[in-house]
Amino acid sequence: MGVLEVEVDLDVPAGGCLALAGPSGAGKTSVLRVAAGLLHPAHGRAACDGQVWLDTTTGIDLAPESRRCGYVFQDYALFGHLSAWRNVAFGMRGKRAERHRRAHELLERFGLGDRADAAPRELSGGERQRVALARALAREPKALLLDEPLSALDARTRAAASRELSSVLAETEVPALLVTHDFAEAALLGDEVGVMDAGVVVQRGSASELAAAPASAFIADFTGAVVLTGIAHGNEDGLTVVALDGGGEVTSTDRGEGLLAVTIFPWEVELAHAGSRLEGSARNHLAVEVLSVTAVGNRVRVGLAAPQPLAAEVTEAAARELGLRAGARVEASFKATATRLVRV
Amino acid sequence: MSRSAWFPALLVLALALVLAFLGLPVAAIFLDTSPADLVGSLGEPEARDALLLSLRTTAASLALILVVGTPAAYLLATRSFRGKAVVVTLVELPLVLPPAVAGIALLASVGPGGILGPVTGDSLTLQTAGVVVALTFVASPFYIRQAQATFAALDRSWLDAARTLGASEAGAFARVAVPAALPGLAAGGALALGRALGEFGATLIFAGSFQGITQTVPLAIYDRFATDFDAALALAAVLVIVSGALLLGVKLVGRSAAFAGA
Repeated sequence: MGVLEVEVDLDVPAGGCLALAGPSGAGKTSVLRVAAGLLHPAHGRAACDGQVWLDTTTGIDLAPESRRCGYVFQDYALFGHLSAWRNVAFGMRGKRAERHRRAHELLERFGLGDRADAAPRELSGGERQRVALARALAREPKALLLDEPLSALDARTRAAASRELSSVLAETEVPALLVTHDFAEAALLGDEVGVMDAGVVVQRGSASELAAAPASAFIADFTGAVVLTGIAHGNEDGLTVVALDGGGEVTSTDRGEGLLAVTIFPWEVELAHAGSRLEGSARNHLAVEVLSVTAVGNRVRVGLAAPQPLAAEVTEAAARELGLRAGARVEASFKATATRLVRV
Repeated sequence: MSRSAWFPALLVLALALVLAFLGLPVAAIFLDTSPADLVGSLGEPEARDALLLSLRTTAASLALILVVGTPAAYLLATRSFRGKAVVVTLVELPLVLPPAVAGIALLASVGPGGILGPVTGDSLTLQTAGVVVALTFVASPFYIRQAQATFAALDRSWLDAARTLGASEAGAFARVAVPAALPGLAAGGALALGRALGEFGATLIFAGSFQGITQTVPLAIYDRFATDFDAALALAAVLVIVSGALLLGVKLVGRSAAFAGA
């Protein structure tokens, strides 16, 4: 049995949503469980709305039922022996008729008025997610904790569910802490994103801040950027030239010296026929080989060997005109200003 | 017959053998007993006493098993602690003990000369309460094993969810764990019920066989077997019907409880 070391210090303002993103095993769920009182850390402090929930220095450790937090579990954890409305009414107090009325009201708000009597197993994934959310909100929580609220859904349902969830999160006035392994999801649902790796939050900021200025190659990779490693040195124009491992050179407007990683987003990379050097402002040109061509929605993601792995995103029409297929040789270009230098 | 049909045929044959082997003796009881004998046997006071005693002691024993066994099984299923394997083995031990050994063990522990003899005196031996003790001893492992397995199979996040929704640990047990596990608990209860209703050896040794006090139906059947085989057969038929009806009833309760619905 391994001991998980998680060292985080997070605060979420009322009405705000902090999305903790990171690979599995980073300790994201542990943070939620500690906040909810389902996990008891050796050292820690948790407080909400002026009330201390946990303080290992003073021995305060409120039971989960005394913490008033709405928790949406990864697989929703709907009680299989109870109908949708009884699930929602579970945490409510008061007379049965009153709980029945309020549960139905909540379900109505989530567009599930006609599914109130259904058993969880009769509900679709999206419906289950909404029941779980309604159940978590039913107790008028002081904080909302969401563990991978969309990961149990298929790709088609996920888009609609995430829009809906983001509007619910925007409406609620309580702080929300959300955990996801998907950066795009974190960017969509969180006002702020904290990237977690190996038990620590390695960077926190708005999603665009993280994408534009990742603090490390790991974060850049996590945000979807391409990461190329090499040795950097400054040149006489005040630019940085990175000699890539495996060959090739990249010029960047960021400053840096020594072993570094160059990051660039795939949509900043332009492709052209090999040898037909683009006349333009792009400072970087790499002769690359196409490894794979994958359609992603209305775009095409092109895997490249530069010789380090690189990726470009182009339109379908562009891919057709360039005759992109595995084995084809093309030229990849991008501006020095589009690159970021980060520590490896 | 196609090339691959031999295996399904084999399966059907195996099931047919099982049914014949298990079903024939039960069927024979009824084929050998006329309905008149059956009704007649119920008219005898000995038989009525035995049947009433069996029902009373089995019900009392089942109540004890459910009330104490359910939380005990929940603890075994949801907590890990040092020596748990030993505890589980101890709980299961009566399953493999010969009933006669169980009876001796009860005498040695709660009999007048047993370890707890100064406390229990002769309040149990040769008393109806002793029958309940014997039934509980042999039948409870059947329930606890099944209940433990059912609780262990529950989604633990349900219990966590109940806690975050304001339920105490006891509340999560009462409002989520038990209702969600009800079909499995009912199945375990049916097993224990069947075992208690058919209990013979431990009861005979620990409580004796006195009509109206400790003579349950199996003991009454054995009592008559030597002298009046037909009467024994008729009583056996009654026991089969009662056991079958109870088993069916418990299964139906378990099924209807699986989902509390609206």
